[in-house]
Amino acid sequence: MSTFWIVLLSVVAGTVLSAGIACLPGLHIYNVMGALVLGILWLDALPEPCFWSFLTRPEVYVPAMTGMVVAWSMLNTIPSVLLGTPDESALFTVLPGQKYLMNGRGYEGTMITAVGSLAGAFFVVCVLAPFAPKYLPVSQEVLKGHMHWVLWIIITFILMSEWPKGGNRGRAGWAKFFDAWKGLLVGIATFVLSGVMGFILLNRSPVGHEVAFQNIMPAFVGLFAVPWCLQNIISAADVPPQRTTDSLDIDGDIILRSVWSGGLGGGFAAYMPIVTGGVGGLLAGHACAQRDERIFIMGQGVSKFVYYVGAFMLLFVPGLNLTRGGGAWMVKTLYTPSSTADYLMIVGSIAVSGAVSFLMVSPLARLTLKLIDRFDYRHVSSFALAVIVAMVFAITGWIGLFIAAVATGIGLLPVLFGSRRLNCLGILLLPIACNMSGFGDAIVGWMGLN
Amino acid sequence: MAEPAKKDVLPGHETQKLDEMNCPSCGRFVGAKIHCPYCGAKVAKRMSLVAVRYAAVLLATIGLACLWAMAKFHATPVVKIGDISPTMNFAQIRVDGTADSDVRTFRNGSMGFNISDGTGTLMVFVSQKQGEELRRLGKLPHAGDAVQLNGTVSLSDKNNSLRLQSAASVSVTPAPAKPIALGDLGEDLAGSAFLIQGQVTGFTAPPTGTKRPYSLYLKDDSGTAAVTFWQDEYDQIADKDALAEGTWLRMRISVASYKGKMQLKLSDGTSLEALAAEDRVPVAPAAKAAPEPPAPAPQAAPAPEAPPAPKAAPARDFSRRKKAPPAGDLLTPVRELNSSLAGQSVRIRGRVQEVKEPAEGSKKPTELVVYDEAGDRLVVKYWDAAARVMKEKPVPGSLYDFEGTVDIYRSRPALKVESGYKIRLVSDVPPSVPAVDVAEAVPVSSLAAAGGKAVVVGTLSEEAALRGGVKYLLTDEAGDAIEAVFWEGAIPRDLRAQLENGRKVAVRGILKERDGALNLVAENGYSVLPLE
Amino acid sequence: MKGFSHFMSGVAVASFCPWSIEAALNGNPVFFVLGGACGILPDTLDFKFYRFFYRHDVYVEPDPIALDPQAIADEVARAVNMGVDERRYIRLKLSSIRLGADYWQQYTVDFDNENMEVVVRFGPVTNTGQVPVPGTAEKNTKVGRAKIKAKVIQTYDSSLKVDIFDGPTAGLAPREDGNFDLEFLPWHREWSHALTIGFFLGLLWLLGCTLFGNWLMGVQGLILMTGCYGIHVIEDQLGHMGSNLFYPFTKHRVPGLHWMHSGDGLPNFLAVWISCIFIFWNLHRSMEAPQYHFGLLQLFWVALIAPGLIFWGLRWLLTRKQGTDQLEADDAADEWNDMKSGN
Repeated sequence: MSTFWIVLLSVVAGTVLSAGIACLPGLHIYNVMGALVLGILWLDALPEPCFWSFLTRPEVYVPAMTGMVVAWSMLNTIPSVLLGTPDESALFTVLPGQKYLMNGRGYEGTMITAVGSLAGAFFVVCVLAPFAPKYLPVSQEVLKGHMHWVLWIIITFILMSEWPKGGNRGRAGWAKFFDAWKGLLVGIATFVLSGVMGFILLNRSPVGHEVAFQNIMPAFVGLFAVPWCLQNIISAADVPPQRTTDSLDIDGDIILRSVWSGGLGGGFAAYMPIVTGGVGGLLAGHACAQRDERIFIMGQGVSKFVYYVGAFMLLFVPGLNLTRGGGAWMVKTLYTPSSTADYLMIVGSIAVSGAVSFLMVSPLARLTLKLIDRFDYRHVSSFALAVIVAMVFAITGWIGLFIAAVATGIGLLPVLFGSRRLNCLGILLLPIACNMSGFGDAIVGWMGLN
Repeated sequence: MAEPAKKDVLPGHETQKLDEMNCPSCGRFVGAKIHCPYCGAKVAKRMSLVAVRYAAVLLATIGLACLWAMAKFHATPVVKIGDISPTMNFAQIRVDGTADSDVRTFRNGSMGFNISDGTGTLMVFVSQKQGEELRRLGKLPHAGDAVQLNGTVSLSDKNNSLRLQSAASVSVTPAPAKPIALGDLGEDLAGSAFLIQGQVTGFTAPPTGTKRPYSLYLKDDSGTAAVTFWQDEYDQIADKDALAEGTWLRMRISVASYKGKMQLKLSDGTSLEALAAEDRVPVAPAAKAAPEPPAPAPQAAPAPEAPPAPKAAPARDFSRRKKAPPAGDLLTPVRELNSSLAGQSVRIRGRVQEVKEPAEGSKKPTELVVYDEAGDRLVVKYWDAAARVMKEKPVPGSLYDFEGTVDIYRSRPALKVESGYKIRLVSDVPPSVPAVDVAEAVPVSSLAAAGGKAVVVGTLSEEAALRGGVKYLLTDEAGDAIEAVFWEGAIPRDLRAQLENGRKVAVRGILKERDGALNLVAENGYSVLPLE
Repeated sequence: MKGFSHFMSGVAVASFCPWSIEAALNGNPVFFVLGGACGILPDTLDFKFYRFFYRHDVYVEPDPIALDPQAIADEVARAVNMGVDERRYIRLKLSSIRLGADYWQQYTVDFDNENMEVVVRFGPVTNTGQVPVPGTAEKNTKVGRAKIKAKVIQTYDSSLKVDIFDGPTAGLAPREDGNFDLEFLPWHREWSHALTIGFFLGLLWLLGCTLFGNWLMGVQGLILMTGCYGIHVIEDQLGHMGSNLFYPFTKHRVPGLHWMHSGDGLPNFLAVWISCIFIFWNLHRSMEAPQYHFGLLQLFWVALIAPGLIFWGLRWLLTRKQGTDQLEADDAADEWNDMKSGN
């Protein structure tokens, strides 16, 4: 079989596999890819080739993994909007997405986001891919000594841009001020506690070193996924009847403006170390100042796609030598891209997988609506929680569950006090920014962890 | 799916129990508040919700404390390099191995070296700050050193590496360096570290502004060798005077090979020490890789072939073989010298501005007027006993480290230096070389009596060596001549090297009577200005 | 402008200070952080601090149990009439009505100057995302009306809408003709948006640094803070609302240049993007031996002009047969809504 057909079949296979995974609440594609990497290494280490040994060929697993990342970043919108089980980067999709859901328009919200992802695929293939080899090395040269302060100003903005939500009634004075600031202080405390946890996990993680490639995963699950599930289980209102539609309330202008803001946010998050899609979306949302909610929700679709897929693609950009995102790190343990042919293969795979994924959004969304029509929303959240907990235990054991429990305590603070969940990203932002500025060692020393 | 909202129930309350959300007194929504913001009544029923909120805070804090304690007492696992698997990416591990190479510095200031433990090899990346810290702690590994360190694994398809976690986690045990004769060193020993000793036959410093290395030329009975080192190692050398020709030195070097040529690199500036005759240990030629490094036995007789010590052995001062603390370490600023430090030993660094020699036969000390980096003035005193062991006396314009006891006299601090070895030259390049003012020059014929100072412009001739100096006949444009004396201890080395017959110079000096003739004795410091 | 635009402008101003880049290259991000923080600080002072201490003459705090628009109308009318009787500036606070954990009763206040009435209407119940709960708009159709003794002139044509979180403040400023101007959020830009305040904060920084023995850093910070704080004030002056530029030497806001509204997408984006370009340019300028060489105009062409032309070309193609609506609002209302909806 020629390489063309091998790559094409691999992409489609990865896309279809990922499509099923993407609809399962709570399962992240990077966990699945991690398992795949382990399987490939195991096959590769076999003394005698077996039937499955063809999977160890780069022209098989690289396009397949590309398809998995692409499909997941597009199809994960379905559980994000309809089941409310987001990963961190979907924090902003969920808020307006749930508005659609609570108005019986969950399908429409999902499809608008998916259209955004499709637009994001066009952006990646037609804009990022041709220009990245020419301009990103320039930007990398100029910015390489400055990433640390970029992280610091992001931290500053995250902390300074949260506005008080309390202090709404009563006479002016200190009582009103303190009522208003309670949430902000909890937000800052969340950021600091997350940061302390990050210092611990990044410097002396109790997770076994044999599974260190997932050592931050239990914390992320605890900070973001578990509180969402708990909140849904405890307090979610019942989902109203959902209706499907054959047309969407969007036009070319909205798509274009969504690509503008989402591409900016997702691209920034993909390029910058540590910055996630949620942060990129926040910054792009502020930068583009879009008032239209449709642009917001579609822009998040663009942003999420560009963040996951763009970061993955950077590994293959000739002359850039940049590894961003968990997917790229996992591929890097198996394969080091070396030629423009690799890059073209990845760009082509993204295009094919993007198209196949988008075609699957509508049927899968309808299927999911049937499921939530049949099952109680709280039960779905409980199931998601069970999947998450099982996954953490399977990979990292009891110690991982303990870390997830502690992280849940921190992750619940924003939920209970009404502050911004993004503050939980202190787990990465704070230690990495300190390390990049050169005083991380000193802090680790103060904590007695060196 | 939800039932349609009931008519009398407020939106959002359909699935919530009213008595859990509202004030028991006035019935309004109060959320999690424990006092109703409308009527002020205490909302006792809400305590459970409040408890949940603060329980989360408590859980987070206690859990984090437990996690921290667990991490603190969790020993970083020691992992064999060969056992590192792809799932260990980002793992924090401890590696116990041997440095395969000296530390290399990359363009961005970070460093790296290879470590191996018999099961594999890893590149260890060290950030710039960690590198500086390692240097400060004297923990920069060299080829062959046993190294233990904590790092974070970074795996890729082609290059696996370890990012050093902290300088504090590094433990370096220098490889036992075997003594070797210079003639036995060869390219085939590349990658090994040795202890060598030899007599200095030359020393070249890199031109100012370049990043070329220093070169030190040595000889012993078996052959010669050139040892190179960089500014970092040079700064670590405590006694830079020991680099002068004729001095016997012992140092630790590593052998490398570059383009088929052997290179000897000084491993560590602090390993370089000057040897008195009785400290020299004979190393038999052709005794490559001696099984055990012979302990430096004080009673060992000097090798018969060993050349005599360049100078008469001075009074022993045991401080000289103590390794000086790293440059800049433990220095006390002059402004911090006060009565509370009286009698205590301190180390200061300063540039000599003026040297006040005692009158001949006087038992008063030599006084140096010194200014430190902050511009604070201090008088440093040393006596004749200390002066006797100095190779070069302090000269104005040069930078020194002085170690001595603080003496407070009339509320002003001074530093009393007991040993000549406690005055160490740091740099003999003055910040700005004070030129002799040619405009002040006077004709030789106008010089009449001893005791005064004068500047004379003339041409040097008839060089003649003196004990501890050199003299020339200085002839001015009118053809009148005077003997000019330049003492080694008074004139900086770089200036002395420029003196030669036929050189036109301006000399600032003191007129002294010597053997019945008037001499012009050049003042301390940059008192000679070459004019051509 | 929006907070992020001010923030990035502050960072861009900081990048023009050579010591910021030098410090950053040595691992010290303080000047860039200071630049961004000072860029957003004027709004922070108003929205996070000052508004909670701003005392009002009349607090309208509707009862969530007995929703009565007439009571609200009566209170608002009392505030207007108080201003007429006492011939002074009146500060009126309209509080929100919280119905449940995620539900708020929306209401609007209009001034009917033809009939000399204040009109209060209840809207739908909204959730915290300001999305109306279906079927709630029709639940309470009662309208509250109360007579006012003078006209209240609004600077922009919209109602005072109260829904989630904090309710707005209205300032009733007496006019010479006996009527009142309605000022939305009178506590905003009252003193915080002054060039002098940036300089004053810089002096505090200088004092602090000098006390810690680093006067040079203090002077550098003074210059930087004055500039970064000032850029916020200057940018806001391009809008409608204006600022009190030299408080305490001046007492009133100087009207803005009316070039834009603070919530407009394009000016905000351009502010952020041009700031990014300038930051990039300054970082490139500071490199000792850059591998890539380009000029500022070239950078603008590649990063702004060319993609901008392509974007507008595409937009024209996609929208040439349809109209595009751009929602317009007032500067203060923009900032107020942004604050409330900030995630």
